[in-house]
Amino acid sequence: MLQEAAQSPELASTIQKIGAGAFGAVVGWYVYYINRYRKDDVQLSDIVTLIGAIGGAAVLALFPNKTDLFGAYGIGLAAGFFMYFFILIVLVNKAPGFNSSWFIDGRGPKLEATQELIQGGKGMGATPQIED
Amino acid sequence: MLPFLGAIGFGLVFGWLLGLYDIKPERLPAALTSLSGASVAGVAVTAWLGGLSKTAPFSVAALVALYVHSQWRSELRKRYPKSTNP
Repeated sequence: MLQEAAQSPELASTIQKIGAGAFGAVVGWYVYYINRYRKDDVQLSDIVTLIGAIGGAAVLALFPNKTDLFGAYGIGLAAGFFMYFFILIVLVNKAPGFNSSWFIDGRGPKLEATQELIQGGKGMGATPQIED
Repeated sequence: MLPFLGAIGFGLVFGWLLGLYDIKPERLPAALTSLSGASVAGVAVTAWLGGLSKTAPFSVAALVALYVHSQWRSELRKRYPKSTNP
């Protein structure tokens, strides 16, 4: 269906626009996710890579330029990206011991007496640094 | 209308990402070159995908997002200075 729309952009139906928006939302969500788990400082190459992911060949193949499908994709992209950020803000501020300083350098409360970091344990993406 | 809003969406995400780039005074020329290069790339992609007319909403949205993000980070740094704990 998307290929048909690519050949005749004016035929893009509502469901195709919704699909393009949803695809953009997934990409936007994932862009924030990848950026969040970046290990080093931001480099120009990171931003260029992200531009490639956002507007790269795969996107161009699916959504013809200058059409509503591209527009729906862009809206979905921003929605997914900022939805991740919004949910992160809510979760960080609700988590006991955490506050907005977490956004600067990942500050959090000390482990309690009954907690420890497990060797080889892995949270969502980050491997804990265990000091001997 | 949708391509116009899509260009704004692109701009917001792009500007926010640019806001992550820390400009250190000792590396100002390199940072400005990098940011300019990235901005040209962003505008070029938008012009290709949305047409030349969409570069304006893209640029405005990117500047707004960049400003909001950098102000937010600067406010956070002021409110929570670097920890002195070992």
